Amino acid sequence: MSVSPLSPLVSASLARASGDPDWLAAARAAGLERYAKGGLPSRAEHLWRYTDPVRLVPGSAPSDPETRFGDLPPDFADGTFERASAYAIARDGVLLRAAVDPLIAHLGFLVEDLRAAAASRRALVEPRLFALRDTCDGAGGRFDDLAAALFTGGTFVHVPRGVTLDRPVRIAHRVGGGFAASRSLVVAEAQCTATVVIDLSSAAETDAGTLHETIEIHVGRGAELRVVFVQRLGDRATHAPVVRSRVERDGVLDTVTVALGGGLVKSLQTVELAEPGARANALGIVFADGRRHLDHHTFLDHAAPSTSSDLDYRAAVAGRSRSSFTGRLRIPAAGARSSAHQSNRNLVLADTARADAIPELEILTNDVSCSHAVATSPIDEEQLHFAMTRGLSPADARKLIVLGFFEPALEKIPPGMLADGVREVLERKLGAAS
Amino acid sequence: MSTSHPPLLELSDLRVAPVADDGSVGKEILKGISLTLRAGTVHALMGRNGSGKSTLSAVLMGHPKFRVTGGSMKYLGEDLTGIPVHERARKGLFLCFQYPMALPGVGVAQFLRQSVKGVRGADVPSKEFRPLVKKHLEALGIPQTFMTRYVNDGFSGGEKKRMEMLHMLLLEPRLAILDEVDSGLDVDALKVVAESINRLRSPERGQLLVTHYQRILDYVVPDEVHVLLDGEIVRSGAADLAREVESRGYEWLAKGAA
Ligand SMILES: Nc1ncnc2c1ncn2[C@@H]1O[C@H](COP(=O)(O)OP(=O)(O)O)[C@@H](O)[C@H]1O
Ligand SMILES: [Mg+2]
Repeated sequence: MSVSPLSPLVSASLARASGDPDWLAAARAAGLERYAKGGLPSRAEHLWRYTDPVRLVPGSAPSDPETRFGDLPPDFADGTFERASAYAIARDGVLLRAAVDPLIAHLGFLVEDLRAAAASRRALVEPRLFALRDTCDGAGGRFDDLAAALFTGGTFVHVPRGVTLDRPVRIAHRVGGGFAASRSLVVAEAQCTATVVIDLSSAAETDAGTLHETIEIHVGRGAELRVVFVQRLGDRATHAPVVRSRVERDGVLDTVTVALGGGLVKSLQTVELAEPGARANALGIVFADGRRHLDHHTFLDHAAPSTSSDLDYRAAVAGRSRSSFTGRLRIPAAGARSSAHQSNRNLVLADTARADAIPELEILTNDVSCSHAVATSPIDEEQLHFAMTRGLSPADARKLIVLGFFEPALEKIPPGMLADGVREVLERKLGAAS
Repeated sequence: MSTSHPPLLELSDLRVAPVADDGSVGKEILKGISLTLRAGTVHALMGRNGSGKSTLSAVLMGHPKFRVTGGSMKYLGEDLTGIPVHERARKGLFLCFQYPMALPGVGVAQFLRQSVKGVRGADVPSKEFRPLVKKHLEALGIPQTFMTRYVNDGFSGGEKKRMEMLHMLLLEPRLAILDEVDSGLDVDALKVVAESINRLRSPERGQLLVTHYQRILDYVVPDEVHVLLDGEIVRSGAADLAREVESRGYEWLAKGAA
C-alpha cells in the first residue's frame, strides 16, 4: 500500500512547529515519525474492517486556513452570552475568536487557542496534551499521530476545580474544501460541572474537504462533563475524528454524538474509565443517505473496578448509504463489579441501504453486570399505519417516526442550542430521502 | 335528517381476507357484511373474540394487511377501497384502536398538533390549539404533563384509551369507529370514555361502537345493535338486543342453533 509522499507533510509539520514551544515541536516531530514509520494500519485490524484507511490519507499538506470565516451558523448568537458561558469560532482548525462571558470570567475558566495555551499555560497543557494516545490499546493511534504532527490549531477548554458552568461552552468549527487538521483539549478538573457543544459544518454544501481532528477529554475526580458533538458537514466532506477520554474517580462523562453529514466518516471514540466509580454515558445518532459511508467505532475500557458505562448508538440509513457501528467493550479482571450496557439499533429506510452492527465484548471477569442489544429493522409498519390513520401523509409519518427514534439523543442537546437546527437538517434530509 | 343524503357508512355484502407478508391472500374473515349507518346514529357491533370485529374496523381504515375480496364499503356514497389511509382520516374517519401503538420519542403534543394539521389541511395556531387541548384534558381527567410524554410509551391501559379519546375529541371525526374501547377499563374510566363519545354525538356525525360486552351500552345508548359471528352479521336489532346477548351469551345466535 502506498502512503502518499511524506515530504510535504514533513515541511508543513516543521512550519507549524516553528511557532510552537520546544516541547510541542518535539511532540509534533515524534508524532510524524511514528506516523511515517508505522505506515498505514492493516485492514485486518477491526478498526479498519469497514473503511479503507487509504481514503483518509491526505494527498497534500493542510491548506492554509482562510481568514474569512463566512457566515455564522444562524443559531449562533455571536458576541452574546445569553445561551453560552463562552464561545469559540474556528475555521479549518484555526481558532478565529474565543471569548468568555465577562460576567463569569472571575470563575477562571478558559476557552482559548490550544497552541497559544501550549506556550502561555504550559503547566496546564503539557501534562494532558497527547497523554491519552496509548489508552484503549492506542486504537486509531496512527491518525492521532498525524493530527499531532500537523494540527493547525484547536480549542483549549479548561474548567477549574469545583466550578459549575450553568450554560454550555459553544464551539463552532467550519471547514472548507481543503485538508485540515485540528486538535482540541478539554480538561474538566475535579468536582466541576460543565457542558461543551461542538458544532462542525462545511463552509459550502459542496466542499469536499478532509478534516482530521483529535479531541482529548480529561474528566477529573467527581467532575461531570457533557460533550455534545454535532457534525453537519456537507455530503462530500471526509471526516476522521478521534475522540479520546479518560475519566477519574466518580467522574461522569456524558457524550452525545450527532452525525448528520459527511460523504466518508471514520469516527473513533474511546473512553478509559480509569478509577473506581467513573462513569460514561454515550449516546450517538447517525443519519446516512445518498451514497454516504459512515463508520463509527467506540471503545469503552473499564480499567478500574466499580465503573459503569451505558452506550446507545442509533443509525438510520437511506438511499444507497452505509453505516457501520462497532462497539468494543472491555472489562479486564481489574474491572470487577463494573456494569456496562450497550445498545445499537438501526433503522433501514431503503432496501439499497445497509447498516451493520458489530458488538465486540471482551469481558474477563464474571463479577460484572453486562448487557448488549443489537437490532436492525425497517420502520415498523404498524407505527406508520397508526400515524397515517391520524391524518399524517406517508412521508410525514416516516419523518415523525425517525425523529422519534433519534429523540433520546436530540433531547440531550442543551435547550436553545442547535437542537432545532439538527431537527431541521434531519427533516430536510428525510424529506429528500422519502 | 333527509334520507336523500347518502348514509355515513354503507356496507353491502362486504367480504374481507387477510394478506400475508408474502402477498398471498388468506381465507375470508368477513363473509358478506351489510350494514347502513346514518348520520346522527350510534351503531353497536357486538361479537365474541375472533368473530371479525377488529378486521372490520381495520379494513374500514385501510389497514394494508386486509383486502376487500367482494362487496363494497361506502363512506358518504364514496367507495373507500383504494383511498389512502391518511386521506380517509382527512375525510373524517377515525379509528380508536383496540391496541393503540406506542410511538417512542414522539411527543404527545407534537403528534396531536401534526395530526390536526394533517386532517384540517392547515396549521393550527398555538393560540387556538392550547386552550382546546386544555379543555379536553380537563374533561378527560388527564394531567397537563401528559402532553410532554411520548405517545402511548409506557402508558397504562386506561391512559392509552384516554389518549385515544383526547385525539378523537380534537379531530371531531364525522365517523368514529371504536374498537373495544371499553375493554380493560374500570368503571370510572369507562364513564369518562362514554362521556367523550356522547359529547361527539350530533346530527352530522355517527359512531360505530365495536364491543364484546354490553356494559358500555348502558352509558352510550345505541340506535341499532348488530351481532357478528364468524364473519357474518347474524342478528340486528334495537338496544334491547344487547341486553339479550348479555344475559344469554352468543351461542343461541350461532347458525343452526335453536
Ligand atoms: N392478519 C390476519 N391473518 C390471518 N388471520 C387473521 C388476521 N387477522 C385476524 N385473523 C383471524 O380472523 C379472525 C377474526 O379476528 P379479529 O377480527 O381480530 O376478531 P375480533 O376482533 O372479533 O376478536 C380470527 O380468527 C383471527 O385469527
Ligand atoms: Mg378485536
